Amino acid sequence: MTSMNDSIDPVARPARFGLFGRCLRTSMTGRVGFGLVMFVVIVAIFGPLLTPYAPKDQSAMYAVGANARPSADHWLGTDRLGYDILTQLLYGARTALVVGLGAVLISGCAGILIGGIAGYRGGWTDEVLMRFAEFFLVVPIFIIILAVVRVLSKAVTGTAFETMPYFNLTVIILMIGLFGWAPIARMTRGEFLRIKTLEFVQAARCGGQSGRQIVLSEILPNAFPSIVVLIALEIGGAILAEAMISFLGFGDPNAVSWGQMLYFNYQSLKIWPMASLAPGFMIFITVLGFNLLADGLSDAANPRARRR
Amino acid sequence: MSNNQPTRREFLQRVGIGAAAMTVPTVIWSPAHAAEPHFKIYLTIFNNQQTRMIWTDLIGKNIAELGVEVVTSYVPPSEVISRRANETGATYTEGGFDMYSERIYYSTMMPLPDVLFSKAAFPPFGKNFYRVEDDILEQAMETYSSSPDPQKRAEALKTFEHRWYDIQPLHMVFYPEDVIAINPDLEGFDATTYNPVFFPRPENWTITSATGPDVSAAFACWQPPTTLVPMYSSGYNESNIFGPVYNSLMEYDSWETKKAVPALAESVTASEDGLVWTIKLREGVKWHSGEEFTADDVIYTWDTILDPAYASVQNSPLVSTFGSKEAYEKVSPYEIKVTLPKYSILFEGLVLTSISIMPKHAYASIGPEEFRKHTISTWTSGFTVTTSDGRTYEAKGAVGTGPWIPAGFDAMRKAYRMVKNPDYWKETTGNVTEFFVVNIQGADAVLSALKAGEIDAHDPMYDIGTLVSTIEEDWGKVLTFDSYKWQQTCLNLKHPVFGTGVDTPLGKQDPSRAAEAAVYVRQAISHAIPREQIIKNLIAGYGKPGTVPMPVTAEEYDHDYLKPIPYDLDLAKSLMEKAGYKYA
Amino acid sequence: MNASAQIERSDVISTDDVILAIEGLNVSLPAGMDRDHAVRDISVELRRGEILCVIGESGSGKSVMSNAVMGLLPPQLKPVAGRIVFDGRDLLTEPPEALRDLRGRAISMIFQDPLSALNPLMTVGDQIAGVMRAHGVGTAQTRRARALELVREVGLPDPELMLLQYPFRLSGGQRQRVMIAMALALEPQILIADEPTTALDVTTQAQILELIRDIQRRKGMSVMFVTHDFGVVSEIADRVLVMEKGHLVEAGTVQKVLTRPEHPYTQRLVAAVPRMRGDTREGMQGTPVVLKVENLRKVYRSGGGFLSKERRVVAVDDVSFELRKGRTLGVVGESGSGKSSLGKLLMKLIDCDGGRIILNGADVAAMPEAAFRPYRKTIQMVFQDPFASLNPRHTIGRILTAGPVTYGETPGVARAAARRYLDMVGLSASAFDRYPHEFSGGQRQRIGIARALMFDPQVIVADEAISALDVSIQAQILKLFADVQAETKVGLVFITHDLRVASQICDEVLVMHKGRVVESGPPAQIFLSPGDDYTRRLVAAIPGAEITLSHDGSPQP
Repeated sequence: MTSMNDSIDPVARPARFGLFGRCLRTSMTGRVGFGLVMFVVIVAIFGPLLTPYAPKDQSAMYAVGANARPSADHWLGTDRLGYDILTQLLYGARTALVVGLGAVLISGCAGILIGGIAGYRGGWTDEVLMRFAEFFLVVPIFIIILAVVRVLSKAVTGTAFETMPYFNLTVIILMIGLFGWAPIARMTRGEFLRIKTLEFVQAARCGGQSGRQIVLSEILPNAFPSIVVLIALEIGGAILAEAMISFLGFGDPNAVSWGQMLYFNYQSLKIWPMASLAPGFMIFITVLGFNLLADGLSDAANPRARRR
Repeated sequence: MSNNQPTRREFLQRVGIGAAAMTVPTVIWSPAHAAEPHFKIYLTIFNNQQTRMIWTDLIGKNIAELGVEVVTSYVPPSEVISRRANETGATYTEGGFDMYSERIYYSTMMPLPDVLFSKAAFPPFGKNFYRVEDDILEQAMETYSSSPDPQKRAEALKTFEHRWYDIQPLHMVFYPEDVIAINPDLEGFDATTYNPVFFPRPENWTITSATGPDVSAAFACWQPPTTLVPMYSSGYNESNIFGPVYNSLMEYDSWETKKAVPALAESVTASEDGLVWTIKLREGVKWHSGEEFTADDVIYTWDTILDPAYASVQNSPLVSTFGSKEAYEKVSPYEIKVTLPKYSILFEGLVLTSISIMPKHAYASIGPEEFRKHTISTWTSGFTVTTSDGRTYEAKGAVGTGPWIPAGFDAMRKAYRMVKNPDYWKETTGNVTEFFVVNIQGADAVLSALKAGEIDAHDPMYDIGTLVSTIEEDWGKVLTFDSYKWQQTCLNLKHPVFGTGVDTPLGKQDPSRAAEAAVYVRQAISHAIPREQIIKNLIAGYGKPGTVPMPVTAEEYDHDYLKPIPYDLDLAKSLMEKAGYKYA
Repeated sequence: MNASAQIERSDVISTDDVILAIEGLNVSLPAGMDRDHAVRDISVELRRGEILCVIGESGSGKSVMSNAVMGLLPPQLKPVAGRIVFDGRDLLTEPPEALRDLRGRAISMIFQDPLSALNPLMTVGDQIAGVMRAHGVGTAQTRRARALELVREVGLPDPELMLLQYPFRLSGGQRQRVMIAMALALEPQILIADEPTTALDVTTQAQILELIRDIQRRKGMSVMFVTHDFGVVSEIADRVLVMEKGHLVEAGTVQKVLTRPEHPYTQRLVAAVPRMRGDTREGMQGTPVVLKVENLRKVYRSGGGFLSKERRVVAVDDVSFELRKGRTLGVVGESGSGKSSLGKLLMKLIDCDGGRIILNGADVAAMPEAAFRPYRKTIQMVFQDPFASLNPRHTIGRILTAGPVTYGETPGVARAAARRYLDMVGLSASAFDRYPHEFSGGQRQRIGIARALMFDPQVIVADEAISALDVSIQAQILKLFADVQAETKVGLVFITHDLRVASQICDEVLVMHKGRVVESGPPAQIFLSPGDDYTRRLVAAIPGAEITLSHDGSPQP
């Protein structure tokens, strides 16, 4: 069968933005996912221009009241807290993206670094690092995150951290990031293990390149397509995790988060469904967007898997 | 804030100019207040009750409007409970608390403010976590609780109310009404009593649609109990379950009249000076085990609560009422004579009506350390009780004199089961013969259960007020009760700004006026609480704006003096200015 | 086996009844490919009881044709015209259920890679019985008995035990025998074999070919045998079809096609088949030694983690040789013989466990990487897989210049050198800015050679450097090696499993078996009068000995 592949499959085109470009060119899933993600990004950047209200403005409480139906002043109405629902949705996109990207920046860096070292070095280093990663895969993440959020917010009382805006949210991002690296590390390790045995890596060693050069210019770029897929998935996961933490009542009281909107409004779902359905919908399309994008990237990275 | 809100159109017009500057989007927000804050409050919000989370947060934001930095956090109740129990009145940064909010009530029908606010009730043993220690309040509470003269007591209470209204030690946000939805086929729910808190009286319930001799009813309770021994608890979640099992000496006739009538006591008579009391007990009352109820059981109950080894939550009021065990004696098996060291309102208000009498023959052998773990506290297994005539009785939980006999915990249904006591000493009117208390969490869930016919009523913790419009007549009948409680924001009155005032500009300038400055700050905070809006928006109108710690429906509430406190940020700022704070 | 025997064999086929007829088959390719059709206007008749070999290079469409018969084409490949007639029915228009019933019962297939075709979680016995169960044949007992019979028939050892084994426990040859047993389970009339021996060692390959031919004879089956190897064709075929780029270019008896090819493509192909040469190559004599290896040893330790027991495999055991400037040393052996480990040891891609490697007068065997660095330039490697040996993300220019630049060469000088060597390996300088995927396998291998030359090395180690290439390309690359060696006087260590190739290019040959050198000497001695048993077996197993014997060995025009 190898004889067929040569003529039938277009060989991967390693141009700039190659993976993304191919994802958008060839995968409907990828295009839809990218569209959803771009929508959220645009909402996050420009959305606040569309609303006259500050993110935590409860002034509606003194006017139209909580759970108000849509009006000229409040296009989607207000929620149980007297917030303008549209405003909360728009600002919530920022939180979601900051959480998603921030957490994955941490987990991505840590995962690639640790997985890369494990995969490249192999042997005992690999053994120790991967056992360590497995520990992170099996601990009950949410319980630990909730505990740490609690303990830290107590511990910083009276210190400089306290004045930091969105400290609580930052801790949540850090924790999601710190607990999200293990799958990335495993993927990176696997890719490194696979790629380092490929002949072009050996060729680079024969060419006298140093370990660092080999990792950075030979192995990593070739491992990246698989890692990017996982990262896109993890962004969605991180956004969902923050929503869940907020939904459990451990969110940052100062941040505007869709999860928190859900938390405060789900009990009045029957009274005013918009207040819970709208943030639920935003979480849904954001996570869906990143997951579809990941699917598309995955298709683009493995053209053969798509064809079968 | 409410008036200068730009409309969307105005805003969009202004955007034309501002857009250029604003198109550089920032993902990191800037801190809310640029100006140096006047002071800092740590507002800790219990994360277990969303309505309260919302209004507490709203109050925090309004306080921030006064130029105060409000550091808000959502925390589990246990966190604040441990923080406030410190002995020194530490502020939040020192490990204590600054401000939180809670629902609270007197554990008797009679207002007993000294239990909550007297200097004598400072933690760790008392409940005055806030460290209210104003001389006038102190004097008024003292007079009220120790004077046998009803006239003097009424005046003292009035003084208390006025003084509180003037200096606002804590801020009453609103007096809630309890809203309860019941099975439309349930009659007799109004017989429900509230002693020390809400508990149902299913012996008077009639399910009109039921046929046959065995009628079962179920009651939903939000939180699972931690102990079912009455002397360890005063919470809804627990008295819902043990309430129907025990009796006290006096009980409340109905919620309408709020009149105490004899229960295990047949009569209670007092001397002129209110110091010597004669209690005649009802004869022929039987414990569930078949043992006769006598004065020994009352003495045993009081002795046990007074014994510090048992660590009862009722220990402190009993000690302050009786002083010691010397205060009472058994005159005959059916008569007890009580000689109080000094008059105390607590005797009538709490000892007679709120202390469930425990069976000596069944409980005396249980040591202090075993009490909370014993079957009488858990109902999860059984134990054998031997009566004085040598018979044995297998108890599946507690042993009481009440209309319901515990039948253990049904783990499948997460329900405590009881069967009707056929030998109950009092006439009952209902047809229910089997009663369950079910643990259900969440207002939506409880209404679904009611709709599905799984429960017939529920406790008031669910706060279903905002959901009333979703209840349909064919499956839910909505009843409202005056809750006799209030929701308050609690301040730590040892705080250097709003407690003692020493850190206010005025207090620094003139230390003798520090306390006065603190009053200004607290008044300012009180005017920053949008009580009407909270009632209208968050509890669907089921409540009245709060003023002082006195149920608004109590006779003792002075409606002439205690006018609602208006939400007025300008007034609040001018009060802050009186304390020396400046506004640009 | 000799020529007259072969003629006899094809003459035996007297019954002319056709069992399978492919008539005017066209299979289209999806848009964007280098051609419209995977196969075009193919008409083939498979006769009862014959072995029909379909030969062609990569992309010739030979596998597409055999898969079309089985109804196993990937969805983007569509038969657009023609018929495949079996038993009076057109397989292209039969409903899927009917095809499923035919598959296995009337037409069976065996594949190149038996490991991926076998279910790793099922025992051999269950898999063979599974074929029968899928067609509702027999009871559990009879199926088991038949499985046992089949396992015996395909010559697997310990048949009773074998039924209980899992595929991973078997060798490649044993797995292929299991596949054949499965294919035979329902006594099919037609067996389609798609490169069934390509992944096997030469001695195993000989056994499997023997088995297929034997079974075909006994059962009177018809076999369609797809291969790229003329050696295999000459061993097994009755008739041969030659395919090129989807077209059928030539058909005829094996004798005719191999000895008197008519179509130019067939002629080129036959000419390019590597032939065993018995003569001694006119290499350089008396030049200085550039690489000397003494008692080299490598032991692999695996599973030495803290959770598992260590396993040791001696890969290279006491190997010594000398390589002189401008000469070629062949290292031949089957898979697992240690020849590739030897190559990696020479390159210090892995560390040795003993012995000396004397390069430029210094023993580099025990040198740490830093000390070895200056010596790296003198020894370079050409790799096996032209698709894996070039980083797909780098331009050819970057691939070529990375090494010299690392060693402090200025980019300008390195670029100039790269263009010069691209020219030497027969590529235009425009290749410089292009990416590997834009090149064919042969071109990529040229780039690999250019990369090795960039350092102006004294020794090049070529590890199976042509085994992944089509036969016509192989010949070109071999010629390139010879030309480069003539020009640069580089010493060449040529590692290969193909004795025919080794016989053509080497001045001296080492035969390796289980890590040891069993025999060494000039090709003439090794191949014509092998002194060692193993060498003899190896030489005997070379497929297509007939071709060698029927020719004088010189390439045809």
